[in-house]
Amino acid sequence: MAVTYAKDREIAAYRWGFRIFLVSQSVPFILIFADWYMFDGYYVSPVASKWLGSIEAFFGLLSGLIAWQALQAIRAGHLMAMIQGFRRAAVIGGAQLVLLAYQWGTRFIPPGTRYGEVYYTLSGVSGFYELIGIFVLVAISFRAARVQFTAHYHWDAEAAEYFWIFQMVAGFLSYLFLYWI
Amino acid sequence: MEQQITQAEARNNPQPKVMHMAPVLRGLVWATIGFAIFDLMTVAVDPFRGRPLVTEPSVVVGWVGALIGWLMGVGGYEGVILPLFGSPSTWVEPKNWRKYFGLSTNHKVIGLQYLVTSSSIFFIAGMDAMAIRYELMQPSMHFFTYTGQYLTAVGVHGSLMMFGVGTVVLISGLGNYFVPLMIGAKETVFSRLSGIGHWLLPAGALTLIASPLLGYWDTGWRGYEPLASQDPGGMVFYYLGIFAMTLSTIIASLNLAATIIFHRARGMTWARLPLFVWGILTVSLLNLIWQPEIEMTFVMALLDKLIPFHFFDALGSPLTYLSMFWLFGHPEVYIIVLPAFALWNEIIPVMAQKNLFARDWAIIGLIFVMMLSGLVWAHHIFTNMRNSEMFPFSFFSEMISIPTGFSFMAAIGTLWRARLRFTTPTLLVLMAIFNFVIGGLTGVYLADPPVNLQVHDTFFVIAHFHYTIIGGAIFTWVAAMYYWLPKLSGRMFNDTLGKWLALWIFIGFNGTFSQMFLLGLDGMNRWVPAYPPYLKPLNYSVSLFAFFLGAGFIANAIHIWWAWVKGPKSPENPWHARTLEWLTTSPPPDDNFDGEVEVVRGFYRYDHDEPSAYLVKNPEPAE
Ligand code: HEM
Ligand SMILES: [Cu+2]
Repeated sequence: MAVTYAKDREIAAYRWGFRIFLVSQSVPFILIFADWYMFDGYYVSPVASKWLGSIEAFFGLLSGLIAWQALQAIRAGHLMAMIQGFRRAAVIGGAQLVLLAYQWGTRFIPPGTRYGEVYYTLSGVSGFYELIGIFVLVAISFRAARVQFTAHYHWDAEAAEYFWIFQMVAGFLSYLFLYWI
Repeated sequence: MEQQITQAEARNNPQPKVMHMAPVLRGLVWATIGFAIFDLMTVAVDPFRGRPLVTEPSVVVGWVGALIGWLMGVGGYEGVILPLFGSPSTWVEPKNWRKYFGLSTNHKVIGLQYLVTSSSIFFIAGMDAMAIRYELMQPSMHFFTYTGQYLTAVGVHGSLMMFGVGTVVLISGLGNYFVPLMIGAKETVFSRLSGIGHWLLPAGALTLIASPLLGYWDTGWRGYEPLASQDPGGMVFYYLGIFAMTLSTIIASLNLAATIIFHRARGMTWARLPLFVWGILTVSLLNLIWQPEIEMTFVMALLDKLIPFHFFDALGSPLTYLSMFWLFGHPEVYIIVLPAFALWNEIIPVMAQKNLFARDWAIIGLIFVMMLSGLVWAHHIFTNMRNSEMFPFSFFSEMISIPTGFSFMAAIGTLWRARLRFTTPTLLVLMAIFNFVIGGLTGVYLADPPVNLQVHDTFFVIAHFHYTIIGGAIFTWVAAMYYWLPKLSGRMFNDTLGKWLALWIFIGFNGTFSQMFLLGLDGMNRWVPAYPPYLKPLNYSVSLFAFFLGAGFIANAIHIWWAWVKGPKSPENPWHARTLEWLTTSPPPDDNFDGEVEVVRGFYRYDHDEPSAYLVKNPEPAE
């Protein structure tokens, strides 16, 4: 046999590439954060519901934690635990989105104001990343079962987890900027 | 620990998909269906007065549906979605010419797809330019009926050329084809993603071409606010089209950067990495930072139109948009020329058979240009700034010419006392260097506030950036096509004819754009289809040269095409180059090298006869 690429190197390439991709995807958030600062300064609208926002943020953190545990599970070779973990994380992420949709639906925050514009843009963009993240988590949970991820081979799960954590951090920062800072 | 991961990449499906329709056709059908579904769903939940079937918001959502349908249809469904859910991929890549018309994972196929798509865009946007020049032959409107038509023509021309040609040909096109070969790789890291990435380019270009359907837009390629927010619906397709094209560039850059870092052959150390590869690596990093920046800016501008929000319109801060655009915009211009700089220093040492002068400085120059390019953006908006704010931007803009000079220094140092072989690629590279000197120096003038405030938004600026982009980057593209033609096709062009054709575009180009400097100084404004009659003679002559130039590009394309299919067979390594792409057959086999590559020396020294690399052939399969 000619030399084949060692699996480790292949995975290292994927890993590096995916991280760079996430770094690149942080640019849009940095841009909106900068605009938030320019347009709103440190103003927090009194009509913004800190309660709802906090519950959403809590859901975000919780699902991030669950996804992280799922990754630990597959590292220890527990395939079913991983699959269930990803699906649970996706459901909680979905609940967070439903809450967001509710908040948007009530229009307590008027879209035509400076704060409102930034609010809808920032929460909309992080919601969009979350939607993609949910799609990826669900897809990978199916893939994991069909191709039988193992403790050695589970790069796809790792990637899904990276993405999920990325959107969680971005969403949490948005929460801090929108409701507290 | 060596483990096969094929188990997870189930590609050898026993029952390959029987395609009933060419993937591109299926893509079009699915795109139409996707558009209809998403569009109608949107008008159902968000109806508009009079219940039209297409509204501004619905066209945006519909476009997303069309894009998804298109990407699925060209092969994304079998190639990406099925494996993502763990089913084996049923996608088979054909072995014949059909492989160019669907999703591919082979970087050479992808590179050619990019080159062909991008050349088509170059042709369309070029015909657009001819229409613009035809209109400007007379001081009053005689060709276009409405000013909006003229301005849309200008906007489509600029956007297609910047995002579909300038940013694409040297990076996604030649980069995809040659970077893996030049580093001795057999494949790229994210091949499937990269294959999908190509299909975003025609989607984006078609979107821009379709933009007049939604109403003529007036802003040109910069999408300046607050004009954009009050412009007709065509703006929407400007944002969406560029969004798709930049996404394609991001994907190509990500793939190439990862490949350069992880798939180098044995012995290909950083100190030996070819210059073109360095060029692609630096611009890939620029792309990964700045293309997402402009995408988000466009999303915000789009929200301004749809909702409407007021980020950048007259109630908000148009200047913020200007800064956000040029934060990306200036790096973008370097994204276009850095690979060209690198190519000069790739081709000249080969043609001179002489050591590359100051190789390290050439690379340092590339890296410093990359870093400084983010610090100069405001030289594009001097007219909107206070005097006191201009200085730092003026300063850095002029300083950036120092690392730029390093590339020139390497090229000129190599040429110094060289016995240069005077071939078509040599000639074109020398022309590109000449043109870029003019483009770059006028850039330094423009970065001087007193000059800038006089000539901003005149044809002087048009001449400046066409000298850098056509004169520098496009000439280098043509040079590289001739240089690599024997590799791409195994055939040779006619050198005498090639030189005459080079001269043709050189005369056409300089005739067109040198006169634009004069036009600008005489007071000819950008973005106007009509002008004071005293400018007519110069404009008339510019247009004649422009038609001559356009015909010259077509003539070069025909020559290259002819040589590609019918030219005489070329020797294995006609230029006696040392880089790795010449170590394999022409055109290269599917997996690039029939064996393992080992690099033992740098590629730019010609003062010895030792090879730079060895190809350890695979053993012949036993009969
Ligand atoms: C030596 C380096 C350069 C300097 C100092 C420079 C400076 C400038 C300045 C000051 C302007 C603004 C003029 C105005 O609108 O009033 C300008 C415009 C422009 N430059 Fe350069 N430039 C340089 C190199 C380049 C290169 C390498 C490219 C492209 C490959 C380029 C492309 C452009 C474009 C596209 C515009 C006009 C954009 C627009 O207004 O639509 N420049 N340049
Ligand atoms: Cu600039």
